[in-house]
Amino acid sequence: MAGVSQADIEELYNFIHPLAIKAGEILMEGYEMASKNVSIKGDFYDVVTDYDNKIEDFLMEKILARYPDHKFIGEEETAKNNNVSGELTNAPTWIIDPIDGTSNFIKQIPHVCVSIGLAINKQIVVGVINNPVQKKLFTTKLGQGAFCNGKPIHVSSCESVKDANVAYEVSLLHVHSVANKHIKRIYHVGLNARRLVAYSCVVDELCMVAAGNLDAFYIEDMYPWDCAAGSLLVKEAGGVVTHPFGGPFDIMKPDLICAGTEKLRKEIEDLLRKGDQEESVGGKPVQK
Amino acid sequence: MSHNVDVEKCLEVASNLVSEAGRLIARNNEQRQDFVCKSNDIDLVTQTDKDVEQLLMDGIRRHFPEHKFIGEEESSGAEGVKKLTDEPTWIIDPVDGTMNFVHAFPHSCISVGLKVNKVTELGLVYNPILEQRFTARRGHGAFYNGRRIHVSGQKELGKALVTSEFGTTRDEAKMKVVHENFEKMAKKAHGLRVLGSAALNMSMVALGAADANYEFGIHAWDVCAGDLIVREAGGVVIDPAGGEFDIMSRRVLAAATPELAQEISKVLTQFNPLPRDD
Repeated sequence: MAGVSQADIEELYNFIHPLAIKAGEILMEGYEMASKNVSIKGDFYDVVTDYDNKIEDFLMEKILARYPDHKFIGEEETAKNNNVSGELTNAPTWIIDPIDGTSNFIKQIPHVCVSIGLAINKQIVVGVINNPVQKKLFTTKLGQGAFCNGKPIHVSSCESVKDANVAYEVSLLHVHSVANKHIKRIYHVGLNARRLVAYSCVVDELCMVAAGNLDAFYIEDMYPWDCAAGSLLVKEAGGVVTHPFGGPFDIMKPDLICAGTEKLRKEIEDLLRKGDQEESVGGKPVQK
Repeated sequence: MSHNVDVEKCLEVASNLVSEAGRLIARNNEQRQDFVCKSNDIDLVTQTDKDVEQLLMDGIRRHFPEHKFIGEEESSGAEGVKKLTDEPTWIIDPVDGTMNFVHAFPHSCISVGLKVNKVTELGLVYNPILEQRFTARRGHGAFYNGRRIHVSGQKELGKALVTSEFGTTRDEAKMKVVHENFEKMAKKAHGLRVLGSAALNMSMVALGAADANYEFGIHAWDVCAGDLIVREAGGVVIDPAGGEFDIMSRRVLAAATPELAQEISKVLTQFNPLPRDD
């Protein structure tokens, strides 16, 4: 397959843009239903699952009708059809999270997003993130900048962690070995940052860095669909996105630091390394 | 002397004022996107804090000229921190989550509580950016955007989502305790959340979106409204050491259940912020 052209990107973007808006409408339908109908714990998850599936089915159906050879990587589908892939190839591949922030969805907290990324030749070239509750549509195409509701957005210019609002998420805190690693790292980031936040909506946090409302964001142990669209958005907004220790960001193992500036990213990387060099917080022996 | 007030009228007046204040905050939130220089950011925050507090206080005084006030801006004025008496007293934080507001990060809110005879009669927490409105009247339940809410009912720390803060203080003694407690919670709780606003952290417990919240170093105006909202949602609010909540102590532990609250209080390393708020 030949390299992707700007015209191809434009066509694919124009195709997916109205579908992302429609997907947001479906999400809103479920969000409003969650507020009215669910009163038993099991019902919460039924509603989320229903709408996760409804949004994903809608998007996949529309995409395949137009591009039958495209592939998918996503949270909900598991071998539902031949186009689902467990690995990223050169084929155009849609990386979709139908509802990011499912616990927020259930509780009516307006950090919920439909996230749609498209990779071609293993490079993300289009990203669309719709937060319909906040009426925010984030859009980006490779080389074309980042936008929110059609207006350009830009990362913050913060260069020092002492001035930075940093989001630090730990998705596997209940796993003991993971908790130990992050306790040490958070000690150093928290001690040096102006403020830490953590509110469990990865897609939204990437958007906040892209828009300059957060200065940096660090997370590991996530999935491709959590980060695909958002990682392009941050880069196109002028930010940096790397592996936590400075290497290239890998969408299939999307551990990342993203930041408004390389200086800030490096400071956070150094703090993570510092934490890793200690056996426990403050250098004390690990208690058994 | 026992004071009687029309709490329903107070809630109506406060709700309208908070909506008006929310529009002011939303306008300033948009405006600040144009600022580049940090000192201007801080100037804007200070001005917004003052504008909102003035709007609220002037509006309340028009309806209730004899009522008293305790608040962050009020306390930094010439009169200093006020002692809580039996008089109807409004306890207000005009912009809670100031650092979030500076960055146009949508986790800041207005917090308004009313105490009469030292008992909290109403609480209002409103995040105008995300249109999140939490309300409670004593004995009448807690509501989120008009919908009745309940705490989660969680009793086990191992399954609990806990909220707290990494404060902006550079007080080394406090930071040591903050990190000790973070480490303990990280090892025992299921998950941690940090929203950047004490009032919103507590509101999440009332909503059942988090199971517990603890913090040392908060002020009365950060937690007065949240305290009532949590209790009216069926949760408990105690002192972090396990005893009775003392709003002027600058310490708080809110939880979905008494069992969870006591389990957390046994785990926490204690810290006593000084000076007290009274």
